[in-house]
Amino acid sequence: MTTQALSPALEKKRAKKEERLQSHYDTYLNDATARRSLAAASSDPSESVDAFLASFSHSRDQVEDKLSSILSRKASKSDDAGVESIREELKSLQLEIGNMETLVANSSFYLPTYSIQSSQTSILKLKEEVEAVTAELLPKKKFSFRSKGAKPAKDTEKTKETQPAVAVAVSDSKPSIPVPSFYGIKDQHDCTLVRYSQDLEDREFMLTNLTNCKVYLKGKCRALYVNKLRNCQVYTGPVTASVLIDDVEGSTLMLASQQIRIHSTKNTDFYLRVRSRPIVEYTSSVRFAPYAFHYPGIEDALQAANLQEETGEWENVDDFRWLRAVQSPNWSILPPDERVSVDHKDVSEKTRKPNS
Amino acid sequence: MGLLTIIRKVKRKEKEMRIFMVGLDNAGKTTIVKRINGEDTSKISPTLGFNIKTMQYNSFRLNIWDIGGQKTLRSYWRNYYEQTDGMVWVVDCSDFRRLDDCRQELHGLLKEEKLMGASLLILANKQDIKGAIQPEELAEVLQLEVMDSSRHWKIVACSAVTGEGLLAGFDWLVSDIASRIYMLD
Repeated sequence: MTTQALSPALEKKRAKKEERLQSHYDTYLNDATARRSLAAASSDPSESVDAFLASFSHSRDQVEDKLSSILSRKASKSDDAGVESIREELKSLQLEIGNMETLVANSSFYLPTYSIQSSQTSILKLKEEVEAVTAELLPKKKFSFRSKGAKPAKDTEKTKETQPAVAVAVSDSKPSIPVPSFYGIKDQHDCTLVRYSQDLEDREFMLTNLTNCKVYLKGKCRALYVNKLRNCQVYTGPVTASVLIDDVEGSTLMLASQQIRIHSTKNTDFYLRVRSRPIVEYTSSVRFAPYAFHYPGIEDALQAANLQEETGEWENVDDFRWLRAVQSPNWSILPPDERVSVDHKDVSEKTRKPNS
Repeated sequence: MGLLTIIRKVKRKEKEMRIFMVGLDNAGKTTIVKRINGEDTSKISPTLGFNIKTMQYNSFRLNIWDIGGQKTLRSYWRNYYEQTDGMVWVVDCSDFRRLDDCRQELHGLLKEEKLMGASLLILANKQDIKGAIQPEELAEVLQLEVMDSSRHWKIVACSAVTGEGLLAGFDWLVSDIASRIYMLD
């Protein structure tokens, strides 16, 4: 009952309320569209990354086209407008690039970092290109200060720079090694050579490039270098320090020394008395036997060099190219019945059996 | 910084130096080591491989790695570069024929990255032999001027037979290494 009685009043109220809500909604809608349109109006159409990139690449292409056209015209020399027009055009290109720079700067607040960087690098590139073209096509004739002192300074700098280069170049080529005192025998063939202790002078002695020679060194020397012998016989007295042998073939060497090193040798017999282990390297078909050289006074010389006693080291050969427990195939011991003994008293050789 | 500091501290505590000694064969490396150590030098065989000698020198312990110089062994030199404080390059000054060889091998070593910081002592050995090349000439032939500013180096004339010049050379080397490693803080 009461509901029916109240209903007209309520109905009115509800209608009012609905009306109010509707109006609220309408104003809200209006506001929203207004705001949206306002935003749309205020936003610059160029303020979008796509738009920026499009305009940037457009002006970049233009600059590049102009540059290449200037270059090609200059190359073909079809345009006789001369230097002035080119200068004008280049100036305008520089202006254009300047505009591009300001465009990037103005847009930088909404551009992603990558786009900013890439556009800056392309601007830099364009600038360099323009400068290069300017330098190429428009030779500078402008006045500039030139201090006279600067030039020699530059020159010394240049020489300083080139000097290490020269040194490097020299190091590739063979430097002139001073050979102030070649002491020994070299470049001989088919002869017999004898040197006595006064010739040997207790110094280093060198035998190099000998073929078919017999060499007798009857005295004490300090060190011996043997190099490039073919079919030679070499008999030496004591060498107090070391003997270094390199590149010997088909020869016989009789040596007494503290140390003996044999390199790159083939088909050669060695008769050694040595205080340490002899070594071979890059060597094949060499044979070893004990020292058997005699001349008057050799005993004293050997004594003086501390080589008077046979230590048996001549057979303890180390092959640096054969680091194994088994015997190296590169060297062997000369069978006793093939050994010789040399006595230079009468410059005659006689073969004899040991113990005979 | 951490690792370097630790290495320095350890080394300082032990006062140890690692010295790498090389040169062509027949230069006299082993003889030099034996001579400064006061051993017999008359029965030295050519070095097959290497010798390590540890000796007390002033307040330092030197570990001298004497590496064989035969051609066959030179390719193994690089196995010994690690942690080298000082390098001794020994030259046979009476062997003119192989100075070229000597220079090439030395310059090969100077290019090694692991040896960049090492002080270099060049011993112009066999000065007792008449006609041996003088250290000034040797410096020229070996083109030592190339590394003038990049490395601490010194060339010293010596004779392993007479012992002359050896102490002067090692004195310089040890004090140079010491000033680099131990006095740096």
